[in-house]
Amino acid sequence: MSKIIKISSGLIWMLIFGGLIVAFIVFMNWLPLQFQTNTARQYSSIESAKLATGVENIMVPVYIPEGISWPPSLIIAQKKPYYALVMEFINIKTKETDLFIIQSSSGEAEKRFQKIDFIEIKEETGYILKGRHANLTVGNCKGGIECSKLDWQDGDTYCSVFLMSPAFKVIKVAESMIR
Amino acid sequence: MYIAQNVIHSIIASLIVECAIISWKIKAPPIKQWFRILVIFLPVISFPLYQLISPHRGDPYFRLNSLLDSNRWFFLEIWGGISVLFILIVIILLTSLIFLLQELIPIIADVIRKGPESDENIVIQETDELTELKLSKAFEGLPLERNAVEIIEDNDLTLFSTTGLSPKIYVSTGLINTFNAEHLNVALAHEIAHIKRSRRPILIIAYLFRIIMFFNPVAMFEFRRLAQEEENVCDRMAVMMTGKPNILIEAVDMLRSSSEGGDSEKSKGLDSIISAVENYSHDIQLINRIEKIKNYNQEDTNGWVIPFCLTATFIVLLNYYIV
Repeated sequence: MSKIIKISSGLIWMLIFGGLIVAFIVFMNWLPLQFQTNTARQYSSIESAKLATGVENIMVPVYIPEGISWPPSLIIAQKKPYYALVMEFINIKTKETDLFIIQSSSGEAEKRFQKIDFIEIKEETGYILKGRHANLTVGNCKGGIECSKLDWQDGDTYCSVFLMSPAFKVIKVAESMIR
Repeated sequence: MYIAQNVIHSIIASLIVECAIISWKIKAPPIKQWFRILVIFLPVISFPLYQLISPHRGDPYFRLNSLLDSNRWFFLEIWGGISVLFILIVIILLTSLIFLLQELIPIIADVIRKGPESDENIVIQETDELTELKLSKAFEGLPLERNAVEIIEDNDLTLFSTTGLSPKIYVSTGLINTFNAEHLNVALAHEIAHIKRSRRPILIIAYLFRIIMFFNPVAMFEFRRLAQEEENVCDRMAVMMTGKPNILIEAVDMLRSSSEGGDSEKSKGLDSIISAVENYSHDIQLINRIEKIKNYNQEDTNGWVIPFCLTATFIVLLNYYIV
């Protein structure tokens, strides 16, 4: 009996200490954000991401295919170790990711931040996007859905647009980003 | 990535283990040792295990929802552009250097020197009748043969043992002359405990994990605490063998008085400071040992399996969300 009491009372103390440790860890996660905005963090709007990163020429699509919700459901931006801005747009009905845009000062960002990927690539070809050399990939994604991706470089910025739709739509989205 | 998470996971594990020891009022040194081993063992396997369970654990989306994202600290610039990552690298390099100079090189040097029977320790082949009488009294009730004990020519109070297939206990002439038969009896019991413990090499296993984490300052600190705890475990076993806690307290206290002011007259400047710090730290350890021996009756070695499993589970779960 005394053994059970000892273990139980210890468990209560451990829960209290455990709660304090978790609270301390959460505080330590929040604290650096108060001093700097360099590392990847979530923003509520494109404007606030622009302010935090200090990047003026963020490319935002003017054309959004039907059925995709606006504004982006997720905006992530970082300044270090390199500049990157990620926008995720979801389908109004399915709430699944339908459009994913990454722009960054490093080619690494695409690999690091990409949330969706091809299951099968049908075709990869070059494309001239408003005078810029782009790479167009067409294939199938999860669930056999037709999807396409367009990558290009705009000055120092690497851009990638991934859409769960045929190629002509991804081209339209990408073109609407370049002014 | 592995090194950074290893260090952070060790810090968290160390915090949780300390809280568990306080929560469940764990006082028995062997039980404390098992808890401390968690700090050395779990961080070694946690990162590969977590990556195996969730390969996307390192991606930014997991990091955003994690309890602690280490990158937020590592890229934080303080003191004119120096990042926290740079400070961590310096700490890791210093810890590795300490490991090399204080642990690895001395062990290799000891192996090359081929054990304790070196030029520094001259083993006496023939002893006088009085010494033999004192030793035979000291052996009473102990599972020890006379030929397992070697006497070395040294005026300091020295006592140590070697383990392996033919373990030996080395006693200095200084110790035999200073200690009475009863003090020698408990001191030898303490060394027998070391030899017995070496057959269940908990410290060796812990040390192997500590070698893997040679860069980790928390592992270094915890391993040293584990080694200090080993002295308490052996004191406890010596008391159980001889039933003389007060004599053991006296013997440890005599070791304290012998180390007070030992080298201070010979050394000067920086040497005297280092020597004073070493003596002070040794003295603190001996005082702690005395306190532990006094409290043996209050120690409970039962009912620790459930707390141990709960603590290990809590560490594993919490560290999963720390990237």
